[in-house]
Amino acid sequence: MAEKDGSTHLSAPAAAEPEASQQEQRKQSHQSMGQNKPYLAHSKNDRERDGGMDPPRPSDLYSAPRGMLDRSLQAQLGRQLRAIFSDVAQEPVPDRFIKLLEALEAREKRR
Amino acid sequence: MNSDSASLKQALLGLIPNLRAFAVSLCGDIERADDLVQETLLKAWDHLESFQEGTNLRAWLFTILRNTYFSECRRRRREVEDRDGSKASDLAVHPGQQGHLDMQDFRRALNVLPPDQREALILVGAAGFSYEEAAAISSCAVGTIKSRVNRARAKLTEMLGVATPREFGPDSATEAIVARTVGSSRQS
Repeated sequence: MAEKDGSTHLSAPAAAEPEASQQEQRKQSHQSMGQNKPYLAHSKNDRERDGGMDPPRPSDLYSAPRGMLDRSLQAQLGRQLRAIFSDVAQEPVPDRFIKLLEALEAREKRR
Repeated sequence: MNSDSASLKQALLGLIPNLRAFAVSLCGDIERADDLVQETLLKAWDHLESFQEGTNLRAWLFTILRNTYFSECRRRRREVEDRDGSKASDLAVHPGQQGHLDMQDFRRALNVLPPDQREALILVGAAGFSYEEAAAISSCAVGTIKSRVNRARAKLTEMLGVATPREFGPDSATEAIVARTVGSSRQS
């Protein structure tokens, strides 16, 4: 439940909640977002995530060239962030983890 | 039980590259990242009963990893405090390089973000989680994730030196924010 303070109180390892309650949270959170922060209300999830752009703010409107510079920089930031992540994500699994999992599996079998 | 553990092993193996990527972007140090991943795998293995079948294993593992990271941060806080001076000087990043961002500069800027903002940015901007999923992983409200992501972006932009401080957001005293960036990485 997204109550007044908005906290969802999920904690590992019990983080994964049934889908239904997540859906509910989603709706409620969206509603409260709209009310509390009107400037976020017209933002599109996809647009925000891809290219990392913020919704337009008054300052962008008053200085268009600067705003465009921000957008291209934001897009560049997004690319670099994803690059840092995917560089590591593409590396093969180090031996230590393969051995660790084998040891865990072996321990399980002995039980 | 054996077939369970075999399939868990396969599933974990498949997610290790993602966990490492998350850990490295979160802590900025590959060795520490691999220790975090190891601890995550051990905890996941031992607490499998608390994972609900059919839900997102990746999100569950990310949650364990970030909780491990943040509780470690709290433990380490005292040790880190005397290093903040050097962090402050790192923060003065190259204001001249308009539109051209060196990867090193970017990594450094990412590392001086407050950890909660860095986490939100990575989850949403790199790991591909929705705001809702990121909120569940970080156990906070969706609005909190959104505002962390926005503040993280604004600070990165500012640190990497394109726009004037005034460009950013409701809190216009951004120079104070730069100063606070260092302070809040101590707090969070």
